[in-house]
Amino acid sequence: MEDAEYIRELETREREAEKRRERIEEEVETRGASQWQLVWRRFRKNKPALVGAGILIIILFMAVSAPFLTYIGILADPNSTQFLIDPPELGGGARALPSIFHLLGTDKLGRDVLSRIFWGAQTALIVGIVAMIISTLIAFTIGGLAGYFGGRVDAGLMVVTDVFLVMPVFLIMLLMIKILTVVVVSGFGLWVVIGVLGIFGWPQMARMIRAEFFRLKTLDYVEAARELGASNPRIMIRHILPNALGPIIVVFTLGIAYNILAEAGLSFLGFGDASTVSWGWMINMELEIVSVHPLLVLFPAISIFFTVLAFNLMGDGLADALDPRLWR
Amino acid sequence: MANIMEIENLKTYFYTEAGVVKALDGISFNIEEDVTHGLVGESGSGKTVTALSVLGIVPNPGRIVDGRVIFEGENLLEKSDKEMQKLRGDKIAISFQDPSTSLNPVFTVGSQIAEVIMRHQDVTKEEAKQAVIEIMEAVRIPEAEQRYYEYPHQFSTGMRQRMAIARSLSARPDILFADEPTTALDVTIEAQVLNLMQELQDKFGMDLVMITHDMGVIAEMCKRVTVLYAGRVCETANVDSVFHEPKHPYTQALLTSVPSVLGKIKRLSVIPGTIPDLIHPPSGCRFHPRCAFAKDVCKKEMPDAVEVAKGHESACVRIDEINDELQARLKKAREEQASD
Amino acid sequence: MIEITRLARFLIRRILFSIPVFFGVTIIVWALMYAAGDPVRLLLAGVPYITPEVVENLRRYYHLDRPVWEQYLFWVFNLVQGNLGESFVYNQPVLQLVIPWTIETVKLQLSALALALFLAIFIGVYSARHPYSITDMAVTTLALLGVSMPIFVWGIFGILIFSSYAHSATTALFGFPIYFPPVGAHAWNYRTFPFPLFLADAIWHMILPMCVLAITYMALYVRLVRSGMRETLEQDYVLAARASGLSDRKVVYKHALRNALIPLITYVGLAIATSFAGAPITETVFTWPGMGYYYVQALYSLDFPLIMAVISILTILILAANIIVDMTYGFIDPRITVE
Repeated sequence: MEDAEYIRELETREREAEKRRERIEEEVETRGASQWQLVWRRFRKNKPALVGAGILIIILFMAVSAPFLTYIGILADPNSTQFLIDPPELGGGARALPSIFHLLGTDKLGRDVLSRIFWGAQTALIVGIVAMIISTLIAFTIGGLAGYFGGRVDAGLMVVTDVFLVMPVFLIMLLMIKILTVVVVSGFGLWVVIGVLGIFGWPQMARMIRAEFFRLKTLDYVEAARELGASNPRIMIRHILPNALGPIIVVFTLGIAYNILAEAGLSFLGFGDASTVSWGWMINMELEIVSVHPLLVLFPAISIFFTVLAFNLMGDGLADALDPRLWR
Repeated sequence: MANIMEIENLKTYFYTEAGVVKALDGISFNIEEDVTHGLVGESGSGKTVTALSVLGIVPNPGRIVDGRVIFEGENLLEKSDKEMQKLRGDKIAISFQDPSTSLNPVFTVGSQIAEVIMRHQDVTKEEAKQAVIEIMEAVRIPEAEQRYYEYPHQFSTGMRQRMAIARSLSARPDILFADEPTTALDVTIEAQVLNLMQELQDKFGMDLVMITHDMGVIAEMCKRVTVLYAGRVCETANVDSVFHEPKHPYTQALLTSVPSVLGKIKRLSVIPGTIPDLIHPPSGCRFHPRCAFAKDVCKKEMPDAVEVAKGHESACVRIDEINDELQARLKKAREEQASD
Repeated sequence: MIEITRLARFLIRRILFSIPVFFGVTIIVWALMYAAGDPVRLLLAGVPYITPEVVENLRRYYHLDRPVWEQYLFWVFNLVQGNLGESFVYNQPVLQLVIPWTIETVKLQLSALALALFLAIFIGVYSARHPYSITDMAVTTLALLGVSMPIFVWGIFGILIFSSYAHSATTALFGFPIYFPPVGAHAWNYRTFPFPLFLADAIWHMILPMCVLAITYMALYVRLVRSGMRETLEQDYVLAARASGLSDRKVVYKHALRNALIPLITYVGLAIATSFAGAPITETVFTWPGMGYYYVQALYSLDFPLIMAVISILTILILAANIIVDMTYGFIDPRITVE
């Protein structure tokens, strides 16, 4: 009887040890595709990151569904000013308080705020993500070349990076937008903002990519690929980049948050695009009257806040999930 | 002989996310006055935690849950943190295993030692500095006066270890726990440091507790030894009797795993199995899953160390039955080692 | 003695290295403005009755008839002599205009930075010593909220609470009314104030913008201090300090904090450029008479000399701040030699 118990205990302990070993082996031996499964597994355990992902899904839904909901008539046209002449009992008029007809009220031109919040989600995500893609391409080119070739190429490119790192970026963005929208092109407002955010958002990431490339280019398999006659671009993209992807994703996610905040800041100062529906611009428009109608500022502010928060939470969660020091 | 410190039923648990790690699960032994005591065991057996518990500096998430540590007639575990602060370094000191991490990299080594002296003695800065230079000379740091102003990274590993020891000695403690003082060092420096410790012990008249996994160090330095396994005491006895007539199967296994100076590495008999999971420790005697002599009785009750011979405590309940075979095995193993 | 010469050599090297970076920035800005076209045309757009002679004279007056590189060299030449040109709009030497703005901006930014660091260290240390406690959770969450809210939203609602609706809002929040002025750095007649009143007035005006700035800066720093402290508190040297009987305060604030500050300082160095560059937003919210506020005004009127001057001064400030940070870094971490 006691022996049976003892054997059972031994068996459970063995099973536990086996499970532990499997887990360790899994983490150690798997590389490549299943590495991302591990990252996902760790990410899934991180509650704040999941909250961020949840918020992000809601915002994505808002962005994607806005045109559809407007088309089928659930949401009002975000640019329609027809509610200006609606009687107050139908929730119409300028800066009408929230009512059953306009759940978040109307703005100073009588446009439906709820609809503008939904459409603003689209703008925010486009600005944040497209600008970050531009930044990442520049960062990859500059950081990658500097890290891969080193020496004089590196020195030259790093001076350029340093210039971009110490310049008062936001001021130059303002100047560039002013010049581009007022003087050179008019009518591409949002794309000017995206382009400018993209052009100035790369230096930190370039530095990081450079460091990663420095580290990775000396690894055996890269040397082997080189000896097998792979071309430099091929080595950079096929062999080094996938291994530097982890930190790039983290910086990318946090960069989106920064871009959304920066777009809001630009719009707040009047350097955005009045013709697209943007949360920052909504704040800018109602600023003069914020002490009377704080809700008109509060709604877009909360939207910005949750979107940025979602990306920050996701970025932190990804950083934890990808941290190579925890890969044990 | 009088005891300078008595440790009774000390229990220190770490409340981790994975579960409660019973790092120390009721250990008792006495440290006698003027007798160098050894604490020996594999890593994870609770040697360092014992010292940290005595000093009351168990790091989070560890807690001392039970037990008594009697020092100068008082129970240290009942003292407030303020009272303990005065005792630490001054009466009871510890030197840590890895000197490259136990000295703060951003302060000069001299100032770190002076700080300890000024904490415990009513001296001026200048007097403290003189005392530091004296002690630096005592641990044989050349050009102590200049080196006072140097940072840890400017010292070699061996010198850093001596500085770490110097710091623990700086306030002239009554009792020093030396945690693996030689592990981080290479063999030539190891001998130097051990010699130095013996010398300092005579000079400052303190009691030394050597914490180590190395039976060789115990043989060289200690008079009395306590063998720990998985947070429990296996046996406490004089070094001679432990080496010649161990009264616990674990000690015997440990002894046969000591490579004799001439012995070849392959002769090193490794104890089968691994150190147990301290969250779910084995029932009864902690060693029974790895013990060659284990019987049902070993799985049932957790034995405490009791006196089995004069001055020799053992926690093996079957020691009377197996003693002869134990000694025979030890003898055989030694003969094999010697013959190689 | 050796220390001093080494420090001097470090300073000279860093300053020499900063010069090309400075010119890099100004050339980029210059090129941007050149792309915008003829400032006189822009300046006079919509102004009636302008004869070509007037335009020609204006262009010659501002050296706009020369090739662009010559204009740039001319600007550099003047800069070296301390002449930043003349504002298109204010018709005054730019330098005279910019100096008081610089003082206001630096005053606000530095006090906000100091306040943020001071609070971040205390809160971060507390959080690190009590990980996963309620306070810690609250602090970590608030820090995340701090970085996720645009700074102008904090500003707007700060003004609503402490200025627009100061009486009812602050009474409801704190039980007694507090009022802070939402606009400007001084009372309108501050020049007539005796010094103590002048000082009190300046501080009173600064509190609201300073706190708003400090909230966002602090949010970043708290997280850094917390993670840095959590790591250092587990180090052997902290345990060793504790084992040698040092008081809790010394162990935490001397031995652990000093090490935890090292990554913080690196970060502050990197963040200084961003925070100075954020000045337009905060200063616009609070109508703070600093470089950021007037820079936005200059942009509206395309006052190029003023734009150039503000960007140059800010770049110099950022470069100087970086040098100071690097020096502090060498001072705090002896393993880094200042070279």
